[in-house]
Amino acid sequence: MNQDRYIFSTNETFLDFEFESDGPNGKIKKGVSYSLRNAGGITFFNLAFGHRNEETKELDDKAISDNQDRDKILSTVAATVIEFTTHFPDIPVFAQGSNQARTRLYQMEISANLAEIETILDVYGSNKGRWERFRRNVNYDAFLARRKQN
Amino acid sequence: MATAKKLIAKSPVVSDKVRHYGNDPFVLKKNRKAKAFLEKYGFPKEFTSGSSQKNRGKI
Repeated sequence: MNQDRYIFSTNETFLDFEFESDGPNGKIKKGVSYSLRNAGGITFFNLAFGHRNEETKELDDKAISDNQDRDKILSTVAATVIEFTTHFPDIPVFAQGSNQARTRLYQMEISANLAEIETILDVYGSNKGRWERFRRNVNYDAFLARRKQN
Repeated sequence: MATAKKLIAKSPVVSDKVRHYGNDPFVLKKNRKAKAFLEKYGFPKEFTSGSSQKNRGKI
C-alpha cells in the first residue's frame, strides 16, 4: 500500500470517487462507487469499480485500458476504501470482481498489503460461500471489510 | 501507527464535478449480484452479533 497510487476526487456524498489512469494509452478516467444496500436485514455498501465511458459518462467494466498500471490502480481503489470508511466506519463494504480473474486481482492486492490494511480494517473473505478472516494463499470469491471498531 | 499513516491518503479533493454513479446500469447490476450473494451466503458472524449498524456518515 505504500506503493504509488493516483490522486482521487470525491463528491459531497463521499460515495463516488474518480481518478485518472495515466500510461501508454493516455489518461483514462476510472470511477469507484459505493452503494448502500441491505441483505438479510444487514446494511452494507457495495463497491463497484470501473472504467468511465466518455461517451455515456457511465461506469462499465467492459473496457481494458491496458495502461500498464494495474497495481497502481488497485492501490488507488484500496485507498478509496480507506477514505470511504472514515466517513462510514460502521457499515461493511462488500467487494467482488466482475469475474473470477478480477476477484483474484483484489485478493492479490489485499494479500500484498495485508499487514497494513489490518491496522485499519477487519477484512473477511468468502471461501466457497463460507466467510472467514482473510488469509493469504486462500482463494476467495468475495470480500467484506469494515473499519476496526474501537 | 507509522504504517497506518501510509494508508491514509491526504484528504481527497471534494468536487461537484465527480459524477454520481449509483444509478449506472453497471453499478445497479453489481449491486443486485452483491445482494444476491449476501442473501445466499450471509455475513461473517462478527457482523451479525450485536454490532451497531448506526451510520455516522452523511447519507
